[in-house]
Amino acid sequence: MNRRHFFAISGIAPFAFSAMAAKEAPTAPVAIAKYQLYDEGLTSAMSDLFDKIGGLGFVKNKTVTVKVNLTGSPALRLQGKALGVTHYTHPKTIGAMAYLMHRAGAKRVRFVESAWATSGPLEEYMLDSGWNVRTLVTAAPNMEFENTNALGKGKKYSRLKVAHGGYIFPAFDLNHAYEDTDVLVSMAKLKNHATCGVTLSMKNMFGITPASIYGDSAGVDEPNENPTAGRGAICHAGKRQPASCSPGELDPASIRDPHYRMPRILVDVVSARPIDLAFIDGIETMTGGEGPWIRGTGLAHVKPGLLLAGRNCVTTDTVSTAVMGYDPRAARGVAPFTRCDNSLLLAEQAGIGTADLNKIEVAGVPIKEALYQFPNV
Amino acid sequence: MTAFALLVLGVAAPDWVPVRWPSSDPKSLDLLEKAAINCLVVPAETNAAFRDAAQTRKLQLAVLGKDVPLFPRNKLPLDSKEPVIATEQAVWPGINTTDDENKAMPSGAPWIDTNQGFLRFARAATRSTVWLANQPPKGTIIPVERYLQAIADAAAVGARWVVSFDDDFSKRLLAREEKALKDWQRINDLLRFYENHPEWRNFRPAGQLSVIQDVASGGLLSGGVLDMISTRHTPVRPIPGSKMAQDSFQGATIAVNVDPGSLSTDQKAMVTRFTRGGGTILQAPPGWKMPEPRPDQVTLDKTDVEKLDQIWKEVNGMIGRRNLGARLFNVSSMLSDLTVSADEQQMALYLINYASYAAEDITAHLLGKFSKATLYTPEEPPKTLHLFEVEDGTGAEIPKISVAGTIVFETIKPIGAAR
Repeated sequence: MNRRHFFAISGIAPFAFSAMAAKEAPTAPVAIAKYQLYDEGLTSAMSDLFDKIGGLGFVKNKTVTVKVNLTGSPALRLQGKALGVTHYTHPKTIGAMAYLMHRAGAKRVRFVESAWATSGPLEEYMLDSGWNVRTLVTAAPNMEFENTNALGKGKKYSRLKVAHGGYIFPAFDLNHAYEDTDVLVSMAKLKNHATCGVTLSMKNMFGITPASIYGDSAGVDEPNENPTAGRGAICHAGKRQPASCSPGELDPASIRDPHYRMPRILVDVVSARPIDLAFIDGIETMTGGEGPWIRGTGLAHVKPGLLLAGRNCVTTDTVSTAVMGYDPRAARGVAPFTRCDNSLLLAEQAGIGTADLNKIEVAGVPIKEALYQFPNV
Repeated sequence: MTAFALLVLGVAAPDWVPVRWPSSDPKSLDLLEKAAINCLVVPAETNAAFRDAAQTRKLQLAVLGKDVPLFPRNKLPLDSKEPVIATEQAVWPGINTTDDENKAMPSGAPWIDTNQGFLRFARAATRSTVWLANQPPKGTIIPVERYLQAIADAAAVGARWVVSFDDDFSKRLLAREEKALKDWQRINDLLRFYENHPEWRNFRPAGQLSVIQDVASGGLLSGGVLDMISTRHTPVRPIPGSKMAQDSFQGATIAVNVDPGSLSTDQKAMVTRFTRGGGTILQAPPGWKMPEPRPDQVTLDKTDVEKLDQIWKEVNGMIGRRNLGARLFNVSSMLSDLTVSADEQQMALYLINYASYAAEDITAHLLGKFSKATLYTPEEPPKTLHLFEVEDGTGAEIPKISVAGTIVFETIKPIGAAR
């Protein structure tokens, strides 16, 4: 282990770097709203939320790609509950988002996700999640769905370079949907994450990496267009490199600890494919981890009754982390970053956005009134 | 065999609905006043007063091994002329919660322990009704849902589970405890649900995927290729090698031949004709053979699974996302079975939920055009489902299945290829 690795693991480096970079990292307002139900009033609540950050005018005549969060197999449920009330994007929020984008003049709205361990149609994955896709597609015209776990409807992968150079990867090969779009929306849940402490709009974007290249069943040299597994070996554990046709790690000898790697990789991903709108659903969610497969205490279905949105993913995730009862600038060793490096500080260091609450305007419900204490993880 | 005795009581042996009755007290039979049960499985030494009381209530008494022949599973006489044959060797159906302590990954659907694969094979191989006379795991208190799952697991594939209670439930039921009586009602409602539709028992397995298998290649074991295909929610039609005839392949497009070495020359010719007619055959590689089942074996052991895995990957890849009769969505806690009526005007899709919570928002895509679909459940009156067109046929949305449900699809024209 070299000196840089030591600092990184100890949490000193992000702190030190962030102190330098915070001055330069951009900021943007974040809106918070209280809303309790996935009901007919949700569309109006989301509309009000977006108005507080300047509205959705920026999508007019644009192709909008919405990355939803359908993490893990739909077969795995927390206490048998519907996926949308625990760890998946709720279908009602998708319908509302589609409608609002259409109303704001979006030319096309494409919902995307790299569905767990399959390259089959996203619509089928949604059916497997118990969603009524027939009803969902009536929310707005020109709705599309694409599973980005492989080539999908594209003919080739899009290589997107990491703007800040990259902590782990210099570039990613992604499904065309992430390049063939004018606007990228990250629709996340307000959740803990076993490896990264929290999973919000930035961590949601880790799911844009196709399993055909970055999955456990990825080809050695070429993408495997029929992936059958998740993404543990390459990104989390660093046990192997992506398919050799795609950019490998900057330093294959770097630390293999997932708690070091994953916070950096998700910042690399967000740097390569910036988020134009971050939306976080905290109406109902789960605590203690990103899905029911996580072991340990604290796993519970909860109802914070919150919605958050912002145009900058770092500021949005920073405010969301604060709403969860954590210090967004906590060093490694302090919840929620008990075992991992702080991805917010790493993103700030990369110049994506500030993680300093003092520099973020909060619209709507103040943080202290929205506070919903998540467990120490 | 006491089939003649039973006919005196007016119920043919295949229609016996059995329970392993936990009391020899004649008064306990009051609990059967409005029950679907019509057959009490009792010890040979049952007292005369109890026997008389049962006869008065027109309840059949049956002693396993005497009135109903009892066999080790692997010795079930599939060519028997007995109306009912029984085995006590069965798995206790339900979601297998055995897990690797070190594994915390977002993996796929849980494995469901089931007798259905073996019973599917038996249904294809014998005319006898098969009874599963296994009892709840010793020393456990079984939630009522698990009893319901055991009943449905067998009934959906034409067999019967001999209802058998754990000690705690027996005690509470005999004491007429309120909760136990409610659970007893649910058990009877489910039994009655299947008994009220005897026509479904005459439907034959449907779908375009066949599995050629025999006892020697694991047909009577649980956890084998038929169960593995079931986890994909793909309809499958077992073809016992010994019963193979040319029309066995009618309507099939894919056949998996688990033990090609055991086929006779004539049978090999049938397989050849199937492939020349456009069918796809997936054969185990030369020299591949499932280990001969041990006499006491009920499920595949680790060696068998490793062996089977060699052909399972091929089978899994071949099935892919194809609709081979029906595709089901949001059914990770469920197993299904697809059957068709003799006149090919109706298809029955059986659904069984093995979770402790209701399964909701299920979608079914059936191959072919259908004019009507009716959902039958034990809890509610029949409900007509809205049908819609999908790429590969007809879609239906099933709002909720607590433990069991059957959807009967009525065709616009005979099903033909989707047989």
